[in-house]
Parts: sequence; C-alpha cells; structure tokens
Amino acid sequence: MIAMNYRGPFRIRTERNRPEPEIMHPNDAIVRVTRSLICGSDLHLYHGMVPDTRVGMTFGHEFTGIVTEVGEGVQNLKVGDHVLVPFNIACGACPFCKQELFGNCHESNPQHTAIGGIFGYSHAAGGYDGGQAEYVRVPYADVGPTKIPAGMNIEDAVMLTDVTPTGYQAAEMGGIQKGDTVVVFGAGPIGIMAARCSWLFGAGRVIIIDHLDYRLEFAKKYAMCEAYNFKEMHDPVVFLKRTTDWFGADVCIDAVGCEAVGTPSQDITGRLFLQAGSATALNWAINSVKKGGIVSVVGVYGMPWNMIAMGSVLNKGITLRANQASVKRLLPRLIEHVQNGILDPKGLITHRIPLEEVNEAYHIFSAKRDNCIKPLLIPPTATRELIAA
Amino acid sequence: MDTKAKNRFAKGSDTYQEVLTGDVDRKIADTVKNIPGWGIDADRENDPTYPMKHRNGADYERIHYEAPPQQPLTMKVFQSIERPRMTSVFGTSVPPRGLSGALRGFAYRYSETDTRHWMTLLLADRVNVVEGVIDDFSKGIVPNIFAERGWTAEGNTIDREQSKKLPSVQRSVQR
Ligand SMILES: NC(=O)c1ccc[n+]([C@@H]2O[C@H](COP(=O)([O-])OP(=O)(O)OC[C@H]3O[C@@H](n4cnc5c(N)ncnc54)[C@H](O)[C@@H]3O)[C@@H](O)[C@H]2O)c1
Ligand SMILES: [Zn+2]
Ligand SMILES: [Zn+2]
Repeated sequence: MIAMNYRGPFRIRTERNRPEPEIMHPNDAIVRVTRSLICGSDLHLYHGMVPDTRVGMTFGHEFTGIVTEVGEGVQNLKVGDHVLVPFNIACGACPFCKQELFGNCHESNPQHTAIGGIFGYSHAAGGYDGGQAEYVRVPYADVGPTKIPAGMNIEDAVMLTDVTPTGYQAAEMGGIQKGDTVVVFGAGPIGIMAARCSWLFGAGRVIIIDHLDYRLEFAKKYAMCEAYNFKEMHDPVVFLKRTTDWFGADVCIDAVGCEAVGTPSQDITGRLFLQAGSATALNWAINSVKKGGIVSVVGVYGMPWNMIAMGSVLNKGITLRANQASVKRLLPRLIEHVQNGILDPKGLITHRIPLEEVNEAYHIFSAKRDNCIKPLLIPPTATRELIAA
Repeated sequence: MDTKAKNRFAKGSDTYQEVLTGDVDRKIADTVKNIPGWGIDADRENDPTYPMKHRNGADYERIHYEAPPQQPLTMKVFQSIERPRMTSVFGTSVPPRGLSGALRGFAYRYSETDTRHWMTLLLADRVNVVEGVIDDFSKGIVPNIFAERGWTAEGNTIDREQSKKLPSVQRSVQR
C-alpha cells in the first residue's frame, strides 16, 4: 500500500510498497482510509521535536475509513462500515476511560504513562502507524470508531476526529461564563475552532492572536471574532490588558503549543533543547488573563519541561486546565452541532492533496505557504472512487 | 464499551449517588478518620475537572478493573518502568534496532520524570536518521532530500494543477 514514511526532521517520503497492516488483537479492525488530515501536532513530529519518533514510521491521527476486516472480539463494527476514527486510542475499560477521559487511556501506550495511545504519533504515544496511508490498524474498534451519520459530508466527518473536538474542548475547559472575554492564542485550525466554539459557551467577546495575516483574516471571517497581529504590538500582554480595562481577559486559550514564536529567549533555549520547544504563547496566556482567571491549554508541549511563568500562576491564582481532547466524549454533541449547521468544520480545509504528494503537503502546511489553513490528503483509491462516482 | 460498568456508574445509579455523598469506601483507615476535624470541610462539588472528567468513582475501583485481552508480544516493545505490566494493546510501527535501538533501551530504564529518559530518546532519534540514510544506501536508494523536504511544491505547476483539480472533482460528487 501507499503510506507516508518519516525519514528524519523535515524529510518525508511516499512509500509505495509498505505491507498492509494486520489484525493483532481480537478487538482490532483494519480500515481503508478515505480521507486523512495533517495536523499542527504532526508538525511537532515533522520538526523532530517529539522524542522517540522513529525513522520509517507513518504519521496521521485524523482519518476516516471503511472497515475491511474485524477481529473476532469486535461487536459493533462490521466490514463495509464507513467510520470516523478519534485520534485517541482508548480501551473503554480502564478507570480513566470509564470516566470519559478517553485521551488518557491507561491501556494503549506501554512506553509511557503520561500519554495515552495516539495513531501515528511516535513511540512516545504508543508506536502505532497512522492514517496517512491507505490502510490502518485500529485497536479497540468497538470504542473509538464511530459510524459516519447518514448524510454527513465526509470532510465534516474527518474534521470531527480532532480539530472540532479539540477546539470545542479548549473553550469548554475555559469555563466560559456568559459575557466573558476570551483570548485565543494561535490562529491555526485549532485556535480558529476554539474561537468559534467560545461563542457557543456564551462569550461576550472573542479575540484571536497570531502573526500570520492571512490566518487572522480567515479567523475573523470564520469565527466572527476580533483578530490581531502580535508582530504589530510592542507587547501583546500590555495590548490585551489595555483592551480589557487593564484587568486582563476572563479566559485565555493556548492553541499554539511548543513551537510558539515571539520571545527570543524562549526560541533560543528551545532550539538548544534546553527546554521542549518554546512556551511563549502559554506565558502570554498566563500573563494576560485576569487574577483568578482560567488558562485553557490544548497546544501540545513536548517532554521533558518548559520554562513557564509559574510565579504568575501562583500570585494571580490562575486555574490551569489542559488535556488532549477526549474526542469520543464530545462526539454526540458535536455531531449535533454539525448536523444543525451551527458548526462548519469542513470550512477550515483549504488544500486537498493526493496522498502520493504527502511530502509537499507537509512542506506547504509547515512553511505556511499558499494561505494554507488545513490540508486534506486523499488516497488514490478514494480519488478513483470520487472520479467514478 | 463495557456496558455493565457503564450502567453501574451512570448518573442516578446507586454508585453515582454514593460517590456524590462520599459514601464509597476508599478504604480510609480508622486511624485517619480519628484525626480531629477529619473530613468536616470535604465538598463533593469541589471538582475542577468537571466536565472533562465524568466523576463516577471508577478511580476508587481502579485496581479491580477488567482490562481488555492482551495483544501477543511479537517484537521488542519497551515498557515504561512506571507500569506493572504491558498495556493490553500497543503499536508495532518500528521495532528498536541498531545503535538507536540500544540507546532507546537505555532511555526506557528511566522514568518519565528523569531527564536521561527524554534526552537519550532525542539522541537516539538523531542517530536513527543517520541509520536511515545508511539503510537507504545499502538498498541502493539515494535519498532525494529536495523531494523529501517537499520543496518540489514550490512553483511546481504540474502538481499544483493536479491538487487544484481534486476539490472540483470532490465537490461535484458531494452535491
Ligand atoms: N490537545 C489536543 O488534543 C490537541 C489536538 C490537536 C492539536 N493540538 C495542538 O494545538 C496546537 C495548534 O494546532 P494547529 O493545528 O492549529 O497548528 P498550526 O501550526 O496550524 O497553528 C499554530 C498557530 O500558532 C501561531 N503562533 C505561533 N506562535 C504564536 C504566539 N506566540 N502567539 C500566538 N500565535 C502563535 C502560528 O503562526 C500558527 O498559525 C498544536 O500545538 C497542536 O499540537 C492539540
Ligand atoms: Zn490532530
Ligand atoms: Zn482506557
């Protein structure tokens, strides 16, 4: 089969003869991928920032596909079902899954305890090959995979595997009260979706911060929010204080993660691996939220640590909330929002690229070329179906 | 999902009520309960993890949960020393090999709080890149760095054309 093959930082190959995955556990299914996305999280892998990213791995944790084979223990899925697959690999039986912390499953990542299993996300997250391929092995097939509701657009479906729930959970963790001012750092797909979802919780004002004008323009329209470029500010924290009556925002959301730019000392220590990337956006969030405010973190941070303004967290009495999104927990609500036309996830997809050109897709997304917001990969088999239909 | 467990913890169930009222027995020693003032300010509602976590007491039963069947171990997979056993499933993407594999083995002797764990893994990743190139050469493949870095996307009109064609094809199908 055709699959993306990681060769080292910034280097990706399209592998044409990769063996197809096999059932390895009674609860496994094999899925033939119909759509697959590249995520900002994949960029951390692509840039070589995630420890234990092995040469030869296939990335991809946001995909839909048709079930081609099921293990003997699988009850809810059958061959031919078209499913969307949440990025978390979750057993449904451990104490964390039972409490719907599906992003924190205890039975899917032998290598680490802090991280649950994630498709195509290095051996730090379980060592599973991912969905930027024609076929994927899907463990715990009865738990995560969800049949795509009849009539749902496939691009909306694939956007429900990560971006939509993550953006929604970012807003949800903010504990937004009606009328609150919410500041979102990062106008990537996640930040834009977080800004959009902040309105669903009753925000009174939503502000998004980035340094890429094309993304800010996009966000302004898509999320109907205010958008500002931090490159044009002397100091983004002072700017945000001023615009919130010098008190600070009620809620700040970090949708950037460990590759934030904007503070030289953070950038340099990050490049030297003295810390895991850079924590600029998180520090801006901590310093621009009001006292007693809430900082919600969905931006991904690597291991082992970052330089964050803990003194401000303490002195301001800030509540820090963070997690990998619990996709399965949020799916019923979000499917409703999509079906009722409240959310339009597919509207974030700007590029549709054949899987065979995955190397170029990464470059375009990583270098922020061609006004790219979110690139979608289409495997050749799915393209043929499109043309035939 | 394990429906039995789900029902047991469902909102409104007895267990759920017990959790809310604090009657689920967490095996709290009597000696602790005798400490003056023990529990007088306990507040079940004080749960900042809501709604991320659906608090239902599963934490208290944690050692009794029934894990899914075990995936057979067919290759070398490292196990965190913070775990008593392998997880029920695991990925088999790329088994550890060569010098990078040995380095990774060393890294997994330390816990997730130990710098040696993460730094050795990062070092192994770099070594692994060199091994990848050597492996390529041994198979007669010369890595095309230009293509691998996706630079072919810069001004490559043929590919552009092709990717532009896809959405139109798609749109016509979806309507
Ligand atoms: N928690 C989860 O479950 C989860 C799921 C998916 C993605 N993520 C993470 O969310 C983050 C965003 O993902 P994405 O797909 O939108 O990525 P992306 O790379 O497309 O977007 C990141 C944006 O942040 C901007 N940025 C950089 N430095 C900034 C700063 N100092 N202040 C404000 N903006 C800044 C960049 O210009 C870019 O537009 C990533 O870290 C990703 O790993 C988390
Ligand atoms: Zn993602
Ligand atoms: Zn679990």
